[in-house]
Amino acid sequence: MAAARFCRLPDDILCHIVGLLDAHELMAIERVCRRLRQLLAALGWRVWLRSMGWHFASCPVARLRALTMPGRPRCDERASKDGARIRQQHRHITAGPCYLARIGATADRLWHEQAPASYLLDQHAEAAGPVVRASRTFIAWTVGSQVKWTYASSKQWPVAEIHRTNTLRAHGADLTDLALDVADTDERRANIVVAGVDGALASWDIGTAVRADARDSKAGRNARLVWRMPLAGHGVQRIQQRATAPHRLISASHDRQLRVVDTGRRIVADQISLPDRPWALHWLADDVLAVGLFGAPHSLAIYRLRPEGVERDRFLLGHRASVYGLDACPQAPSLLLSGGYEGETRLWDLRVASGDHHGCVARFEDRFNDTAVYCCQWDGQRVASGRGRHGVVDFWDARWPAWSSMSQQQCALDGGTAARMSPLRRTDVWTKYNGRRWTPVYSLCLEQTRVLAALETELWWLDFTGRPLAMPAQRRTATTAKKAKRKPDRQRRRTGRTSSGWPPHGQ
Amino acid sequence: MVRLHSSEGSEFEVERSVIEKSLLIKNMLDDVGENDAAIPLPNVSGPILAKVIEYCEHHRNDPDVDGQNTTKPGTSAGASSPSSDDIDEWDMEFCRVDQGTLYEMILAANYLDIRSMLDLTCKTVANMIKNKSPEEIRRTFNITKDFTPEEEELVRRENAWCEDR
Repeated sequence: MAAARFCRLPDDILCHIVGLLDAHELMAIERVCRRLRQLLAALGWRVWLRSMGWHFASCPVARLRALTMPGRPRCDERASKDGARIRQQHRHITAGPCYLARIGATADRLWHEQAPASYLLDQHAEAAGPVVRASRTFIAWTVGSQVKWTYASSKQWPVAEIHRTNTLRAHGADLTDLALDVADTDERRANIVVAGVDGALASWDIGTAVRADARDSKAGRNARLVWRMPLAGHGVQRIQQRATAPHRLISASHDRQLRVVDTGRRIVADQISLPDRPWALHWLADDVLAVGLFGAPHSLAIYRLRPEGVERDRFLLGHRASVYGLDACPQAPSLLLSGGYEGETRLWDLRVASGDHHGCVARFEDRFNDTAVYCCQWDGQRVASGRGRHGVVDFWDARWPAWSSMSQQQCALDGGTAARMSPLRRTDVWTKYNGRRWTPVYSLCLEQTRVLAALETELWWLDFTGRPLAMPAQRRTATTAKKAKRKPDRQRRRTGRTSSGWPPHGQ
Repeated sequence: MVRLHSSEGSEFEVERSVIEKSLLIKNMLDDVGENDAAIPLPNVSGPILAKVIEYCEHHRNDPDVDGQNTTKPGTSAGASSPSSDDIDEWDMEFCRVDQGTLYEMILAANYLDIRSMLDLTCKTVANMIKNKSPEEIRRTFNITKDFTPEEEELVRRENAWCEDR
């Protein structure tokens, strides 16, 4: 009799009680009865714990929440104190790239509370589905058959200053994808690998150009073509490289082939047929690939690279249409993010996937906007998905999806296996300026507080830090000065801004 | 003095400064001003109201938990007192009641908006859950297991990845 009473306590009180427990106890609670299981599933604590790391398992949920969510200053003060304490307890995990470093950081608060500043990095007439990729110091994007790239002198991302934009007249045909092959430890090695609709790959050395720039010498300032190889009869759709696997590159092309290319010897080391046309590709771990395919329901497949060859591991079922965007963050390589044409972004845990359980742990879905997701990115905490129309990017918080807006309906959905997320913030600042309301967001790069987004004819930089971005092309070297005389800075002429840096548009 | 009417109609008289721990009543008194009329509390029974008044009397001199107690429970639980092991003697004794009464007290604290009492009672429940297996929790709260075998297998599998660490 008292029993039913406990389970009949209202949601907010149960949440309050649950918030005093830690992850071990939550796991026990979850196995008690259906009502509690659905309650916890709706809270989505597991998604968040997965991305935070297991080191936090013995910390009460509510305290973790205070640590990681922005709040009142008093709350923050306490949080940073707690953060220090936890750091001390787990000294072994403070080294290396760990989310602990971000505890108490202001990035979170900025992200939640501040309207992002937006900067137009590039604008061009051609409309060919551009792609943008960024590493710590380099940003590269495609414009038709050209590649533009720029870099920051400081090693710190987010880059505070952007140098002049360089252009590579790279390819005879339009480009479909590019991969940045940059060694963070060795700045001399920096290559851009591009893939075109003619089915060829080419690698350009930009490291020498950066060094020439640094020496201010005219010679060798242009990027150098290292190699070029024809790959497929049809266009290559996606390529990807992995820093931990040098000289290996994977490509998915329109002739429905997945290829492993040895870029050192420039041969196709292995290949396998795909069941349909590929749209997206992501290298999760050294031996695991995810491929987004055309057509539902078999639109997301996991492949394994084994010594004896590539083989398909399994399909992840759940998307109701083609999968266009794929991403994973290095800190949590077993969590795969996928964006589908039906407008849903899903998070999968490959550790859970087995048998007929596909391991979908979260669905990011806006019930008022079901435009296709063209690309998605996440950093383990926040998810950004670029929509297929109106230049919209939706941002979601993957950690605490439904804590504050809980309802019975949310619990009942999905039988409690996947948490549903509602959007944290939507940003459509671009449409205000370009007037081209139909343009999709083709490509996104998300890093902490800065987001790069490639639209049909524009490259935008969204900035949540609140600090103004330093002007590119401030450095006037011999050649740029000459160019500037002939052709005054196009950006500034267009926007009519003065030379006092780039004031943000979006504030 | 303030007069309170519990759900079954019994009347309680308390000092205003005591019962102002309850934000609900405080706001009500602020709204109506000086007034002799009794405040009806249809959601709180007599014995529970007696417990609430006992709590407020004992904690009348406690510093207020500042503006935090205006927020909903669950949204800022982490901010005020997240750990559940620092309950003092008197509070422990105060919460030594049967489960039914404890839930009534939680609901009353929630309804009357007494932040510290809600925290205390929830902590007591959380302590009952701690360090127990699912089966023990079920026995403690007398909950019947309503999982199908498939569901149970699913839960087990979901937890497998973290149990082997």
